[in-house]
Amino acid sequence: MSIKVRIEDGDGSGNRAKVTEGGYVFVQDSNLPPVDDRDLQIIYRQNLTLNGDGTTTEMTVDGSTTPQLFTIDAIPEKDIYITSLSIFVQATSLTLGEDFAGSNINTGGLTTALPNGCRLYYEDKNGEINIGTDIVVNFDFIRLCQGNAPFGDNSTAFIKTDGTPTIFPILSFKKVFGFQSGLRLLRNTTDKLVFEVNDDLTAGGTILPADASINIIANGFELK
Amino acid sequence: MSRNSNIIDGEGTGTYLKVNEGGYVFTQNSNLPPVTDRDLQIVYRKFLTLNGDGTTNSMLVDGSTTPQLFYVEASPDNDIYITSLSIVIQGLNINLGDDFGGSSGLATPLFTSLPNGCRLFYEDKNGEVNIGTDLDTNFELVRLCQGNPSFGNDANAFKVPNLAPGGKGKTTSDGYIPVLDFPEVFGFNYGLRLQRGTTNRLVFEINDDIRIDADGGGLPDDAGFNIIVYGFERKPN
Repeated sequence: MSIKVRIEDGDGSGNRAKVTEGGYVFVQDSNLPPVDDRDLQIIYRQNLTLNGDGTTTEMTVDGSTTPQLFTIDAIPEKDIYITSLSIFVQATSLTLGEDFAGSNINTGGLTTALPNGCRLYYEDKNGEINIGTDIVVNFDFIRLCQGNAPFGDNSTAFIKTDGTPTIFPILSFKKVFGFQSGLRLLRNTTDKLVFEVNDDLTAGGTILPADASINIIANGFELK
Repeated sequence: MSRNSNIIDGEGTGTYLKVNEGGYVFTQNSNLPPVTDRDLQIVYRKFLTLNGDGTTNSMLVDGSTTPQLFYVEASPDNDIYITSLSIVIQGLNINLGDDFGGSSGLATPLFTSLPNGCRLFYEDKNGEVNIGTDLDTNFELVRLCQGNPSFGNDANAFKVPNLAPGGKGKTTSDGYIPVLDFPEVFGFNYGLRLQRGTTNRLVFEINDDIRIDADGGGLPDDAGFNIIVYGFERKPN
């Protein structure tokens, strides 16, 4: 024997839930956020820093002999969900051509595109998962971020020209990779997000001009 | 026999589920991700490569006699959800008119728009399902992607001057960088799925000789053309 059950409004209005011919329950999303006073979500915004030291945000370092790793790491108490990365690359002569952070005017004249290139990856129990590889020119950042945010025209497309020329592409993990809540660094693990420098990016060195600057900010939230 | 039921909060608060006059059950989405430590989702990013070889990502090939297929295919272990495609097509004098990869700018053009055109499709148990057909000009690629991302003005609309993407087959010339967003364009909330353990694949088919001029094809020497696939792998439960 089966028992037919009707779902009724709990406020006593007599309203009953509908089921469509296809067998679907009608639902409507509230426009309102859920009432929740548990405060489980905390804004997260941190620079990737050298070896996760929390201090060294400037990525113009020498990674030509030993790769230099800029990381954010999982923490003991909370999960970290990284929803987006804000990438900042700046130099007076920066272009989207054969150039990495102004390398096209470097005095050493050794290279324009990076010989080895940078890598963006994360590390969890699955091992190292590449997010972006062979990042050898500024445009590779723009492409990794799928042209987000688009602006400008012709030779200044994607380049902020007030002040020192700068690109600041945004990598949205939800938009680009379909991670609805962002990339998670599980609490109490060694999970980390890493930007790896494999060339000599010293400002004023053999590749980059003295006014070059590179950093990345991770945005998202912590979940208690 | 039927019974009327009220759904009541399981934590003993006494709160009942609401049903409105239209017969709709009220729902609210939590801001929080589900609590799970199963790590079922892995970032996926790959070039479409010739016959899925994992290496040959430059699409400047001769498909005029035998169609040349660049694809990514299903994996044995995990489902792949493709959320977006990043296309780069570039070449001297490239434009949004009667042109494919700068074909119209050669001193003696072999063609301007492609004679046969390219095709983007996927293959699953339903057979071959077309995503884009008759892709014979740069503009058709921009249109397929619904103008995403949009920037620039007039003759420079959607155009990046003198771009130099890295990786294999890199070159420096003007180009277009359209992005096909599957949730946005086709309403696939999680993207296009390549089911694990199948022969599902996403394919870009070339049906013309789009090698560079020096090799006998119809594109300028500084032309470039490749596609990167973005999305995630989903492990089985």
